[in-house]
Amino acid sequence: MTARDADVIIVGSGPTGVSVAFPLVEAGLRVMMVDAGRLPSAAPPSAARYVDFRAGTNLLDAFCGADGEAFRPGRPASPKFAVPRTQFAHRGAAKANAIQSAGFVPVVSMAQGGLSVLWGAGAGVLSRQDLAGTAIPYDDLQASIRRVVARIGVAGVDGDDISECQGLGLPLQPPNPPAATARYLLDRYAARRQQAQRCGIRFGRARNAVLSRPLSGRGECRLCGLCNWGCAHRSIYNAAYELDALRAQPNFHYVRGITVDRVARNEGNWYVLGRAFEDGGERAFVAPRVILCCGALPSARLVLAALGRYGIEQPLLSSPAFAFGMLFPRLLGSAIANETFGLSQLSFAVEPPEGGDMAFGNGFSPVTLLASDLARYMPLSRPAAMAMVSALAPAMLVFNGFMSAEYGGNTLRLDRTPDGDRMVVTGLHVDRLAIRVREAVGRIARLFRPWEAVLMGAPVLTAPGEDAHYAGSLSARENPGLGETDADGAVAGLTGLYVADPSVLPVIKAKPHTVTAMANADRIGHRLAAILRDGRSPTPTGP
Amino acid sequence: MARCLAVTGASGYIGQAVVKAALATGWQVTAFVRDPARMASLPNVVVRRYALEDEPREEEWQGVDCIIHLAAVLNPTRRGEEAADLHAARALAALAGRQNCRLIFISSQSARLNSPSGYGHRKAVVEQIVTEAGGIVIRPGMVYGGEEASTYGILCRLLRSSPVIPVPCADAPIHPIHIDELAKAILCLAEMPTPPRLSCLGSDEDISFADFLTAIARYHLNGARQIVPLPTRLVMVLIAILRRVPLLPKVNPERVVGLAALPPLDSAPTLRALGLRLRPVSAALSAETTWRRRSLLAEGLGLIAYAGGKLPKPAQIRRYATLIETAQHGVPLALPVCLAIRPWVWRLADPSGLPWGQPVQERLAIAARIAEADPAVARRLLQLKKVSLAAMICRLGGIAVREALLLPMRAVFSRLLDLWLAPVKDALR
Repeated sequence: MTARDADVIIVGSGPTGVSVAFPLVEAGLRVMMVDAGRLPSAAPPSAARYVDFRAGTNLLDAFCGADGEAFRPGRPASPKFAVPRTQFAHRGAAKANAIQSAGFVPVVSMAQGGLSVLWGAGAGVLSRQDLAGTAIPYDDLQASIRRVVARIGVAGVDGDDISECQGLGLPLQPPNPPAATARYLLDRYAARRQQAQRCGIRFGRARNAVLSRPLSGRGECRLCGLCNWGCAHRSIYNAAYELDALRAQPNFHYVRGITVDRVARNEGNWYVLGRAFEDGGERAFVAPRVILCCGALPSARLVLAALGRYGIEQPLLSSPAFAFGMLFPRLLGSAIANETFGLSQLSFAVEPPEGGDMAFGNGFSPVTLLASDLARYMPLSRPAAMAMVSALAPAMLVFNGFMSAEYGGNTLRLDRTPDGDRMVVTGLHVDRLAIRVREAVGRIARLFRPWEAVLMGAPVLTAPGEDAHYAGSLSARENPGLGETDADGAVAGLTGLYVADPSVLPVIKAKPHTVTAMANADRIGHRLAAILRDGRSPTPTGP
Repeated sequence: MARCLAVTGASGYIGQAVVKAALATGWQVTAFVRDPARMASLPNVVVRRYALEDEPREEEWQGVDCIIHLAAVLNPTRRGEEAADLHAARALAALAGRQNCRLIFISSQSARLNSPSGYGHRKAVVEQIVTEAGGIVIRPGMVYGGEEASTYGILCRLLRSSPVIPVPCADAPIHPIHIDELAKAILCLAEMPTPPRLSCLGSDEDISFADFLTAIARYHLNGARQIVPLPTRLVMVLIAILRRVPLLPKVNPERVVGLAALPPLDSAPTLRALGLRLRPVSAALSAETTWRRRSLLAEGLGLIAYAGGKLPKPAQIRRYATLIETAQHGVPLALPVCLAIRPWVWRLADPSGLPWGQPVQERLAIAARIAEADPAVARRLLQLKKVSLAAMICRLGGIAVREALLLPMRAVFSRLLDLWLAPVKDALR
């Protein structure tokens, strides 16, 4: 029999990859993690405050990068992708995974830590109601949610109007004090809470996977405002930080620098086949079980190729995203505070009382964004726009918002071509999305008096895929068909192949789904560890 | 064992580029030229005398793996000369059959049996002879770049002759291809195990003849030329007049006729099959110049000074030029240097907030980001001290009033700049 490299191979080192690894490693199984694992080229800035960072003299590389990748046309519009620091994660990643897109901006990360190297750290969770009627058992999931939240460290409050949206009764760290603009908005909201409830609007403090107390060797957030440029204190959760804890275990082995091309089964073993970055040579890793955690797009490609499922369209869920800005005239003239924070300060939900889907979003202070990036949204000459944006920034909040997956109709399809397999992702936003977004944002704007809060221009819609909240490419079902998985992440028709990343989430709401996906991965890991410990082999599923 | 390539017409415009590219990729080359003295002497190249009306001598063609047939009759003055093309084609086709080597014929975009120009008709007949014998045909689009010779040389001379150029067939669909790209593609097809019968090599998006000339004038000659479209008949009369007048440049009327009747070139399948992506004309031409970097630096100085409100440091200006060269095609906007370095020029022509001027807006975005990297600019922009509400409203009001006064001029000048850049817009992304 071929020598096996491990009892379980996990592909991918993102949040779900490490979350499924912990229970398996703790159960004593031999676990190997195969990863692309690209590393950042520069260390995070060491300045104590944002203002000190901007006073530095060597910022050209941080702002522009050496090769202009940040300015290449076709990159997603979010400021996260404009920063050269994050290029290493997604540059050429879609192409390396044989993903082609039409009308869709594919966000794929090959970094150590997956997409968590550049995420906004939104830590809401899907509720029992959100997952009602799906194959995922919520009681087990809830236990995993508590475990994951305690492990990664989430700061937030439990008692305000939006807490129900983000999960109640979880072990939270106290949140950092909000910016003056966020405080002002929450005060004004509290003053007319009843009217807000009638309109279906809720505001509250954001819940972020950002530490306010030290945890597991990571420092607490010092409010330096350099979040988008790199967190030197490791307060923002990044799955790469947990790799050290895993690698300290003798039964965990980490292999980086591999692009996985396909997975194939032969005589009771699964082979993970890929190429090494450094020499382009082929590598193969062997184990009886493989868990894919590469992300909704790459995992779907590997599974569809293993199934031989060519030319058939599968759905891909994503949350259409939008953005808008609000100005608070009473706060005009404020200066940049000593302590600033670049990620979400507060969250909102708009749920029309007459029925309809919820829109969910976050507000953050634009003080730590570059004026040249925001200036394009102002109809003025460039230097005037930069001056105006900089003057208004301390009195503004910029919001991102998400709608549920029903407003999108993306599909993916695996094609066989002479040059190899290729997955084509087609993006689609339904027509009524624009109307719903304008209506939701309009509700929020009308809640406040003009001297309290002013909506700045019309909301901006992003292209399909730019939200980077993908799920449902290999949905979990009670009785999964081909191209689906069961409640334990096992791929229908392929015994021993599992998926534990957001591909298996059968629904996606407007809320961020990362923590839910991590909890699901943790649940899958515990289930698999229990099954293997009991000595039973996993039951084959599907036709 | 090295492969052997035979090139007829090797001293011509395309021929020289093909020979150079072949030597670089390891072919052994035998050059067949009418006048061996005119062929540049290169190591590893055997030069033989060959005229189209000759019978090819078997011993000179021994061991040849591939024949690239470029030699053609260009200006037939006597009737007999036209037949030489066909004779050579038949002789080479028979030779290729006997030697069992590949015959590649470089035809033309204007090749059509019912072409109004004799040139196009001859090319089509030779194409037929070659394909019947099992050879392959390549139809290049408009070839430009490198040495000024052949059609490209004529166009350059024409553009140099006057600031205002009357041009027939201004709308003719040109599919340009740079000479180096063409040479590489021809060799690719020579090496391919099963090449397609007919390959069309030119850009997949056509550009108008007027825009093509504008790009050459701006990026090769570094000068502004006003292209004036003229009706074709008028131009034919003018050419006939020019022939009588000594000392003025002569233009072959056949070329105009050929241009007027130019059929479109379906190059997309060939480009896909070869995996080729051709550069835009302005990008390829500006890459050949010595002044490209200087133009980018001037543009960078002006744009960054405008966006940041102060003179940039040399490192910032250099970074702008490097970013344009790597993230975009490296094509400068090619404004005259004395204008490009002045911030007030960009203030007048700033298209921000207006629904046009995408290329300038993108460059301005890059310049603004570079400007913000300067701590002095950051100090001026960042709101570090609290000011009263009234003071802030005055400041914002001042900005708004200045902008309102500037807007009409910005609208006019930015639109003019956008129209001036329109012919080369495809390369300015």
